[in-house]
Amino acid sequence: MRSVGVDDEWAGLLGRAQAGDERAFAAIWRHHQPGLLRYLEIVAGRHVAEDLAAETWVSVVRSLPRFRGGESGFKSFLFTTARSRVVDGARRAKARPQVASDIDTLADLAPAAEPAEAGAALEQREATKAALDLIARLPEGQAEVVALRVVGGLDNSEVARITGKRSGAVRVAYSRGIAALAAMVGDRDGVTDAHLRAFR
Amino acid sequence: MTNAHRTTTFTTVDDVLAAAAAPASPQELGGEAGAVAAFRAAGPAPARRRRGILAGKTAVAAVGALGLLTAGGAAAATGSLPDAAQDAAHEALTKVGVDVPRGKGKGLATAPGQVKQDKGPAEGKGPKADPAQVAPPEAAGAGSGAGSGAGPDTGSGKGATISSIAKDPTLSGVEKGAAVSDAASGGKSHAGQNRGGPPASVPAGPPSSVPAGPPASSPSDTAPGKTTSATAGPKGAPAAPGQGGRP
Repeated sequence: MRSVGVDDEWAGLLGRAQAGDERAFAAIWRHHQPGLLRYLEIVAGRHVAEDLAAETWVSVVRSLPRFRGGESGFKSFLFTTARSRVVDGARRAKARPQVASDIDTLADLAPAAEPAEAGAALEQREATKAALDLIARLPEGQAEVVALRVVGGLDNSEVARITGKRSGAVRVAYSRGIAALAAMVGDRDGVTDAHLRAFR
Repeated sequence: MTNAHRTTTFTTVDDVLAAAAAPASPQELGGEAGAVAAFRAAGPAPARRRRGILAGKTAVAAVGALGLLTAGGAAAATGSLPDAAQDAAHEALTKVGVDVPRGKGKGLATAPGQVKQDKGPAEGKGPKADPAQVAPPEAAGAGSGAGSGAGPDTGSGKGATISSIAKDPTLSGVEKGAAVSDAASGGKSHAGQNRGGPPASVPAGPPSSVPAGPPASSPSDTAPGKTTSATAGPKGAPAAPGQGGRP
């Protein structure tokens, strides 16, 4: 995924989007939507991820004219908004009968929605789905931290701010999450120091 | 997708993380049109929202003006307005093809503005006196008659007194109205004594003057700032370290 780029380029995109330029907003959306969607798939489930992503963007659009900050700040803003949508959704779900597990099962049984997709693209998409599913199987706190860091591209301090945890707790949750993933896939080498450093 | 498929896809944790952060698929970007449509509908918010508020207030004003015109028109149609107003309504509504009766007074085929200055033979009643409300029908014409005095009569005696005032040929216009009013109120009313008073209300007034328009500087731009996300949104978060961007 191509990064929007240096701060000047981001500032230009943000300024045009704030002025109502649809193409600038679309560029921002294309860059951040995949990570947002994957984060929501991990922490909330595939069946609600798209709806929550849409709600998140609606909130972001409303606040966009007043947003000030760089691209990393925007990512924090985006994922903070998404997280609040997840929390709100969880509260709503508590008031309803618990049918989430059934929906997950039905979603798995649903036929593939992309018959035209083939070859390497399909393989990559399936691999991404499988990876997200694995991360989603981690304990809740670990799954969210891994998702924010790996999928959202956020650093340790940003994850700590979004989740309301201490920086040290985030680091521990991430390390344990990576170790658990390694165990799931049978990676005997597990988590190397070099690997962890790459995500510090 | 089964767990068996998941575990056989990856052999290292690096593979898992790389797949999780892989480039976007077309499906993940399939909602772009909807997102842009939402963006188009929502922003840029301040100007569009202010126009909406103005439009809403204009609609309310229009409804209010319509109601006032309707109420005035109904009163005019039944001939229940004060004579000056009734005549003005007659003049105005006749021009648009609506037939309403004239006032009971004579010679009031003039515009309302002329009524206010009338001191002579037009026989317009004083705007505040409105003796038609207390005087018998024959007094409402105020065209002739004799009489004087405004004693504290009561019951039918007061009616006779007022009638005589109304028929008094020595009085006319505002003076007659004031005398009638004085007699009817037992000397309490001073209506008609101030000849510079405001004109009678005219139901056919322009609608634009009826409602107070909204201020042009409506603080509508505070509306979107009430969202939860807005308060949670960071302002100027520190720059991400080197690995901030997605692969």
